Amino acid sequence: MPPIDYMVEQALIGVSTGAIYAIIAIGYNLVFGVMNVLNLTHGAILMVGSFGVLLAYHLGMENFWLAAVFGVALALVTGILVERLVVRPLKGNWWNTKVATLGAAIFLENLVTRITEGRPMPFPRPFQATYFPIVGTLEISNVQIFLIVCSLGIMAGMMWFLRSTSAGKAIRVVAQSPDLAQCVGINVRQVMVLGFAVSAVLAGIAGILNAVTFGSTYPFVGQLLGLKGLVILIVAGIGNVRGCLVVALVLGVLESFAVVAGGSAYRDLVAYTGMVLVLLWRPLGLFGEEGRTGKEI
Amino acid sequence: MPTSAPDSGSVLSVAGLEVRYGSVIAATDISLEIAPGEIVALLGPNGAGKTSVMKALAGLIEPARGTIDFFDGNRRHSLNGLRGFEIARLGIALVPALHVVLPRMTVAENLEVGGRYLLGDMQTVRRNVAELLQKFPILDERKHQFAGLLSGGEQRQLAIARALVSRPRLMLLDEPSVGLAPKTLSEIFSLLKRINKEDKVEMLMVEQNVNKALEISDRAYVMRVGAMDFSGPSGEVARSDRLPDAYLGS
Repeated sequence: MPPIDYMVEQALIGVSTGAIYAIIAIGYNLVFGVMNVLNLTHGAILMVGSFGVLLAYHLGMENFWLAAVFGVALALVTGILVERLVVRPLKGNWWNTKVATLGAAIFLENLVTRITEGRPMPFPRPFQATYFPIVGTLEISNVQIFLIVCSLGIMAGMMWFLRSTSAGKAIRVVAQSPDLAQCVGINVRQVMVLGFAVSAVLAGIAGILNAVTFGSTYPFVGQLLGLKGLVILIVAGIGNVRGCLVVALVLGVLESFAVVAGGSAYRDLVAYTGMVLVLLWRPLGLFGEEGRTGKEI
Repeated sequence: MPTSAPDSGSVLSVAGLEVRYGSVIAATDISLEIAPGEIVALLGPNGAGKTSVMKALAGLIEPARGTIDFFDGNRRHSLNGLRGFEIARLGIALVPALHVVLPRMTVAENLEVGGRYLLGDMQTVRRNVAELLQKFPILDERKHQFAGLLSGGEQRQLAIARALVSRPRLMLLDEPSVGLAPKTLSEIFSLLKRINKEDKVEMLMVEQNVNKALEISDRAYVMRVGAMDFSGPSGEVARSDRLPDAYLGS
């Protein structure tokens, strides 16, 4: 067994990866919840967020925070365009929206490949990495602290938004029953766009945090991350934000340990094997509920 | 067609309404009036198209034809072309037949949501909710429970209370008796009557329990498959030979 401080370090890395997964999964969840649409462009929007930062630097905006805001804004615009041009015309048709959003993802990925020649690009850091010793040989860098605090902060913010604000509550009402939402005076159309917008912002943030973690980004970075987000959504059960957070953190930590135990080839095994096992045991996911549609009122 | 409803001053007047699902006609040539102060029953066998009419009135389905006018006490509004949330904002509250509550919110949250987007002012919402919790003691007891965990009767009460938070002018009640025990049903119906009298809320009610519906309503309309059959004051409709015909076929 590896030394304990090494394990703790791996667990910390796992938590920060897991938190990024959680942000991605919750983005999926929002759109799925309010529109009953599986938005397969989500991973590509995340990638656009990270490249938005690079674009900002390229345009001479050499402040990480400003560039990050620009990246998130670019992801938001992309998300709204996808809703307008790809999702809305198909009127919620389950299969058509899936194919169309997948198509939009392929388009975005190849567009960015075309512009950047497709090579992984180095990604700026918010600040110079410095390491603080904790115990023994265990050290933690300020970048790691930033990633963990930032992701968990966003999760907490999301929960506050959904639980305590008018707009957040409207999202929850629409997710439970679009017809009842109309009956209590909620403009469902508007809430759907809002759900898509918030989801795109979360994707943009996740894309940037992920690029900071690895120090680089590339046009297809969203494929694997998007898939992980989807696995988490399925395992947690659709419509459950807290469930997503728990599953994402557990997955992040387990992946980290899988790398320790068997090398990086085993990393992605955890998510998919885990998904199959959970679905065999609980087809609705760990925290899923039956009959969550409110289609017929 | 005998009807005692006045033509002018109606709270709701519907003329020549047609509701379609694609090429299937659910209801056609539906005309009805609701006068101030009235409870009106909309009766008819399963599949007659009653729920479709209710959904069209609430703006959840766009009618294929016909006009719907609503008088809110000050102004006359055409509901044609308005969407559900806009109709709700005019003071028309639908209590649906199925999936009546927001299951993953608490009873208190369900009630709050009933007013938050219609009244805007949260102080009024809280005051109205507190008043309603007195009228519905069972909801007060369970206010911190998830609505999905309530019994059918409790959920129905919650749905009615939620509709009342916004102080609507007109309530559209789609089968308020579904899934209720006889005792609960009597309680809810007398409560509805009281709300109608005390709070001056007009009601249009689709109901399978014909006797109960005719008991509390002032007038009734009876539908056959897809169309209006006849109408009249509830007492007359109750005695009419045409009522069993509408349900059993003549």
